[in-house]
Amino acid sequence: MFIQSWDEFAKQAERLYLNNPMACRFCLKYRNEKLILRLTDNHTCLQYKTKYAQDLKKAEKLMSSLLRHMASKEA
Amino acid sequence: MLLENDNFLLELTKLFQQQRVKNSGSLSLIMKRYDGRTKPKPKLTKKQRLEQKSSSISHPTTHETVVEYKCLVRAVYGSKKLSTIVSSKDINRFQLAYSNLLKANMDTLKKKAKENKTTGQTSTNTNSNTPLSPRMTTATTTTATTIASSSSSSASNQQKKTPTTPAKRK
Repeated sequence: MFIQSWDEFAKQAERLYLNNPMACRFCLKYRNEKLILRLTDNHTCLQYKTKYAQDLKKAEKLMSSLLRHMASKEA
Repeated sequence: MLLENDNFLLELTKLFQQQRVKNSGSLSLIMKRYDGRTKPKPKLTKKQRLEQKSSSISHPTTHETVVEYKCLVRAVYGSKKLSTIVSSKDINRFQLAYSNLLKANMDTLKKKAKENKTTGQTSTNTNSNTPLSPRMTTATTTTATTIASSSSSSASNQQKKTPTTPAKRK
């Protein structure tokens, strides 16, 4: 259910998103002392759970790159 | 509520503050690509589908239209819902402000404990429950160190006893 390593999650997330960028959505759920990240394209769902602050930085980077890609111009 | 980018960021900070005060409930942030459609895509009739098929066979598909995508960002806390649409020219500003916001507000996460080094040096753990072990030159497990420490303490006790006994004899 939950992917254990961050690198695995990042790799699969990129792959899933580039496969079908229109259908993917990236959700982030923050509740006391826990952060849950989810990337889904309504067929498959990748989830990552963490309680550490250093993972927040990594999640930040991933989020920014996805945001840039989503709002970009494409020919 | 659909808001402007700046308003959205302001309201989002308020939501984070509310969550900190209440200390309950979860704040969800969602990001999705958006192509600007306001009407649902209608299903094609049979005629239109046949026309589409024939046209695609005769003209090979060469997309030359530039599509500018936007990003839809939504935030939900309890019953409060916010949303905003970011287009490509606002993306730089929004992305900086957004990442700063997240870093500043998600501060209840723990710091990761440092891993123990194999040379047996004392480790500075913030969250671990292992007691501080004395420095050993050889690599040993914690049980071995406790045994060693107990043996060393008993040896020192014996050493303490031996000098006193000759003193008493004298």
